[in-house]
Amino acid sequence: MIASLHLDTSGRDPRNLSGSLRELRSPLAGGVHSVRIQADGGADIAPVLEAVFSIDDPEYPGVSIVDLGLLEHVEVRNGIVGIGLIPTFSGCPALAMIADDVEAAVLAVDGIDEVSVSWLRSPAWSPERLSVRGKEALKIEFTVAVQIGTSTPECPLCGGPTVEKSMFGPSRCRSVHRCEACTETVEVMRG
Amino acid sequence: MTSVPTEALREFLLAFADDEHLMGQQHTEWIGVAPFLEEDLALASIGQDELGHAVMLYELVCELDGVEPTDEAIDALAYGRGANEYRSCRLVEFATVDWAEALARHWIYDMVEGRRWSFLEGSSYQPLADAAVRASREESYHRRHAEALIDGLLADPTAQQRLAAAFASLMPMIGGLCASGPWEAEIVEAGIASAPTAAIVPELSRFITERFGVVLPGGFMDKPDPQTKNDRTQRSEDFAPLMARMREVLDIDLTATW
Repeated sequence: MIASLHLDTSGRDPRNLSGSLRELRSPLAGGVHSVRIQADGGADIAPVLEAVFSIDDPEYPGVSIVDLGLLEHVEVRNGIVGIGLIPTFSGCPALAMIADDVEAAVLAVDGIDEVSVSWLRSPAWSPERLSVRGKEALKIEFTVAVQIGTSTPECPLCGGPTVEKSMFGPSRCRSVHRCEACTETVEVMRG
Repeated sequence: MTSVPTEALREFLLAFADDEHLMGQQHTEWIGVAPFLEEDLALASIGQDELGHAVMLYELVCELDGVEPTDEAIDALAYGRGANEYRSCRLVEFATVDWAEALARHWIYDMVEGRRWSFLEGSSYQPLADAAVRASREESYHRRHAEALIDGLLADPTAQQRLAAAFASLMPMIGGLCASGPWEAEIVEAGIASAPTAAIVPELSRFITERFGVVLPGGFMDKPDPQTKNDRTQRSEDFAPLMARMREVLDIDLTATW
């Protein structure tokens, strides 16, 4: 039997969702992004998901690629795992490194013999895919705000409104804003 | 879906991929020498996007060729072909150290590039439609950047004159960027693109005139650039030195793993 599930990672800490298949069956409503999970009946998917969750984005050590919304699907069949990821942007230079890290982590799971990680052409990533936990970590650990749609990003330090100063910042996925309240220069993760 | 015209599609993909690749490389040459720090960063990011788009397109070429799109296979397409196998246009090959020309080219290229991707978003060739949706999201920043910078500069009479001169010098190359190659009729016929690249010309001419006061002469598309005749199988004189700069490190040791 193949279990096909949709795991909503946008509304809550995705690590908590990896506990059991039963828990995975009750995704939260209202999320903008779900992870497709397929597993044959006997497969224990939790350690596979935990292995994927354990990989951090090289740009943000301590922040899982799953929290950043890179995970699109996981398939486990007869010890063979297929993982589909999407890049935050097409010119990201870290893709090979992330794929290698994911492959090594999942291969280390008991009972897994083969892992293939692919970068999918679709869908396109957007900051809406960040989990609540991911946004919090960017804010607290990196003082990085997130641009959701056309909304005004909040200053990670004081919560004040920020104004864009430069569309391009220290890396391709960050622009530079300034907080109107506390005048701090703020990096903003954007699409 | 109608059957895919493989030969035409390959040429079409290469034309776009080569433009993206060379434009991306040209942007990176400004890193460290752009007039101010924000521009170093902007052109680094924009160049990175164009190179990313080129990779997506070269991957599609690999798939058509039945070759796994490994880094090596993509590098072979990007750096390893003979000059006559490239399908780039002269505008992206053009060597300039003039900031006004670089900025004018950035504006023209991204205006046209945005439209080229938009013609592919509903492509009957699904892998290309997927690539187009992703690229289009990224492109909006490029156009906004070029527009904002030009808005600022147009307020200054000297800058305005320099920009107008830059557009005038680039004008003979615009036709080549917008020219529909002989393969495009089949591409549009098969629903791979919703319109040929040349469909952009009236809109582009109007924008250039409105914004910069440069009037493109009627029928300028029919007066092909003397170096390439607007034929994407011909390389301009700037191609060989550009390719040599791009391959400079690669050529130190062809067997090295990077």
